Amino acid sequence: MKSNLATIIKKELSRFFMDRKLLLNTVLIPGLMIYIIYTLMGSVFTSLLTTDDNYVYKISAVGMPQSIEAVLKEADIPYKEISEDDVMAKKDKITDGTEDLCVVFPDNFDSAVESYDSQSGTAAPEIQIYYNSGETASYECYQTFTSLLDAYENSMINKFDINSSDKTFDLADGSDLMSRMMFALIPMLFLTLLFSGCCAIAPDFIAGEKERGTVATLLVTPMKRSSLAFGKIISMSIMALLSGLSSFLGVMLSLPKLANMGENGNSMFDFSGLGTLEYVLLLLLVLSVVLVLVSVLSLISAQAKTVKEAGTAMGPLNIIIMVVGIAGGYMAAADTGIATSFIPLYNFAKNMTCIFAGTPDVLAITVTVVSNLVYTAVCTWGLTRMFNSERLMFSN
Amino acid sequence: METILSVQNLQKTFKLSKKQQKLEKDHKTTKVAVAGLDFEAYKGEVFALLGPNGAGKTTTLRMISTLIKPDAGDCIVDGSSIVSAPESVRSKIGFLTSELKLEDFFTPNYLYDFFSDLHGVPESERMARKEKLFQTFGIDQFAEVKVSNLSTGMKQKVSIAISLVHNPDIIIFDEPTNGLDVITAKTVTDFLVSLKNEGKTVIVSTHIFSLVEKLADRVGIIINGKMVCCDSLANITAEKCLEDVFFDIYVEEVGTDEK
Repeated sequence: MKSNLATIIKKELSRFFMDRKLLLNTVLIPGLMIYIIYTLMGSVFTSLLTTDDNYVYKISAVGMPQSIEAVLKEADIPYKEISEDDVMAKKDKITDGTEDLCVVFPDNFDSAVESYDSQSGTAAPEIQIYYNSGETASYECYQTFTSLLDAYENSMINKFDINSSDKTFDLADGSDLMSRMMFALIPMLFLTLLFSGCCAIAPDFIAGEKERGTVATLLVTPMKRSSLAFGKIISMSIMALLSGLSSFLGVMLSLPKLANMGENGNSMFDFSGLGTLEYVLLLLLVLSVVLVLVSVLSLISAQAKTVKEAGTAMGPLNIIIMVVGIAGGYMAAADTGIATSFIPLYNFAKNMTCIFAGTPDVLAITVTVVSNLVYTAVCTWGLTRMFNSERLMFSN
Repeated sequence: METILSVQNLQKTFKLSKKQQKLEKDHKTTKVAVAGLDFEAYKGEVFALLGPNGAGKTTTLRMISTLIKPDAGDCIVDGSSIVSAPESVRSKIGFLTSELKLEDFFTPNYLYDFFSDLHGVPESERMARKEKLFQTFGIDQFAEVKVSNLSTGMKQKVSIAISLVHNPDIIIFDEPTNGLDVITAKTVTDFLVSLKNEGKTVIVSTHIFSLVEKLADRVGIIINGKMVCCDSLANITAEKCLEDVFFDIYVEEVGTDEK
């Protein structure tokens, strides 16, 4: 006699894989849509926030002094000398985006700067620079121009230098800070994506069967209720994992494009520090948290009378999952105790972040996985009892 | 006569929802669906439970098939108690009610195999039985058609076939011809006769007198959750037809006003 557990899992997976629409909506489309949307957003932001490498800034200047002219020449930045009467017209052009910068120097700028005494208390010679922060080219031009002026000003009063030699003084990897921030977000991303995958399936999984009357057909067979409960949880976990994996791939593949990184090979996700042990620990964490998520959602689905009711009840959980995911991710470094590894979902976020940070705590992860399995067993027991409850199963 | 099913003081009371309470004349919070029912079914006979809507027929059959638990009493099905050994009872009976639906997405072929697996029917027995049942009900032509695309009658036939995958000795059908067209209803009725001829014990609930007269060996009349008459069809209809006997009993139990 075949195991009833295997029979239930086979049937649920057959239903899932044979239903092209369901497969498309839960596995293919989420990942694909995330990838397309993030990639498009990345392209749009990149084109909005950067200018062409060959772009020549349109700069006008009134009273350009020789000193600054030399600086601009060295930086290969052209400009056009105009009279003071043309300033108003140039300002209009900057506003409508056809020109980038208009610089007005005071008369005899060089000699005024030379004779200026900062201790005198009088106002320093002022350079007026008109720009448009709403236009990428104008804003970039402004930043370039002011940085050149700052450098020139520093060179005039240079008393000491900081890190001016060619040595590398920042000893951190260039992507470390970003990586730390992103790695702390990954558990939350993982949890929300897995939860979304579960939510696409869970409402119909038991509530739908109750609503359609098909669960009663299963309940008159000699199969143990626990086989039905566990079979449902395992098969839904597999589906949720597939859905979550699809979304995760979509996020991971598109994030570098969204952040405009990776062009120089400087990826923010550097997994080179993860060895076999870390991957095994990660896998155990993901599997155990999926079981917890699915178990809880199964209880909600079994409690609900209709698919709609189940979906409504599951909605608010998303916020809790996000908060717990973020908390676990960002508090991981400070939280070194074992006790918090008993807190469902938080334990996943905390330990996942530790793995990515290169400081996995095997004991904490073992506690996490074991406690998650215990929570799943408790939920399965609860679900078995719910399958035995005529009030819940035949409430329609 | 060998007793194969023995119902002993079976009781069931339901809590009423607020909406249901408003519909009750005396605003009761509970409703007694089955009030201490006793009867026996013998091996190889067709036992019909006859009664008006709300009499407690369906609740009784749902308790016997272990879908719901009795508040008190028990039923021994071929030696197994519905209270202490429900899984054993479920393996011995075939139960069909209009509340049991098939998953629309699957084909009759797939569902037959699925339920055969759940009942532990060996592969060697499965094919021959499937062929026989599918031919009897004309399902063979629709074996690979999704249930969602089948007619109501064909769905009912598939449900019957699936309830019998494990070739049970005791078959419990709740209103088996309800909502069916006359052709499908006749197919089902004829099939019940053939089950009786095979020596199966059939317990059927209905309010259709002609069906009882055609099929039943013994009849139990339930009114307001109580068994008010239980005897052989021959004895019950010795002087009057079944319909007249039923209404005489009904008037005696309930009164003419509620007839």
